[in-house]
Amino acid sequence: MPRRELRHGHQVADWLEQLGAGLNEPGKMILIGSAALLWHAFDRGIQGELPEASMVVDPITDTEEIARVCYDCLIGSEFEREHGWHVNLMPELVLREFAPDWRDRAAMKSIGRLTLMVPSPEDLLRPKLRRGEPRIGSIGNGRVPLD
Amino acid sequence: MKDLVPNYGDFAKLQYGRMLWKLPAMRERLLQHWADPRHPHVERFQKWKGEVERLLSTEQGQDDDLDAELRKRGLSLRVVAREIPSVFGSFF
Repeated sequence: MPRRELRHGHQVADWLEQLGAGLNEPGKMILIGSAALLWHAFDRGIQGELPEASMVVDPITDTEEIARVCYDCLIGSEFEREHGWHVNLMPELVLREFAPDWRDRAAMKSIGRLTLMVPSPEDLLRPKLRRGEPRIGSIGNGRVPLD
Repeated sequence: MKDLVPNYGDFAKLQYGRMLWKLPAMRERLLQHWADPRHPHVERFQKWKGEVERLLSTEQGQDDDLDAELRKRGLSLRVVAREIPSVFGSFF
C-alpha cells in the first residue's frame, strides 16, 4: 500500500535541496501537481498543509542523472519507506495540459546544481480543476493565494 | 480505437526508459528487474523483450519510421510501449 504522508512544503523543499546538492552535473526539473503547490506555499513562507495528504511528487526532467535519482524514489522503494511519499516521473507530454504560455509565469530557482521550474499556482490548478480534484484550491484553512 | 486521453504512465515509461537505457548500468538494472521472478509481468516481458529493447534503443526522432514498420507486422509503437514493464521500488 503506498504511503500518503506528503503534507508540508518543507518536505518537497528538503528533497529538492538534497537533490540539488547531490548532482554531479547541472540538471533541470519541472515540478507539477500537488507537490508543486506545496513548494509554492513553502517558497512564499506560508505555513500550511494539504487538507488531504498526497503520496507523490511529480517531476519532469530531461536530465539523465535526475531521472536516475528519481528511479530510486519510486513506489515501494526504501525512499518511500523513509519519507512517506514517492516520486512519479511524468512525461513531458503532460505539459500540453497547461496554457501554452505557462513558462512566462513559472517560478525559477537554482538549488545547488538543480535548475527548478515550477508553473504558477494558477497554471498548476487549471488541469486539476478540469479533473475536479478535491484537494485543489486549499492549503490549511484558506485557499492557495493565486497572486 | 484511438485513446482519447493519453496514458501518461506509458509515455513516462518510454521517455525515461529511453533516457536510462543509454546508461549501461541502468540498462542492466532494468533488465534484471524485469526478469526477476518477483516481477508480476516477468513472463509477459520475456515474450516482448526483443521489441521492448528495440523500442528503448530507438531515438524519438525515428518514432514515425519505427511505428510504420511495426504496423506492417500488426503492431504499433503504442502497443510496444505499453509492454515496457513498470518498475517496482521494493526490488529495483
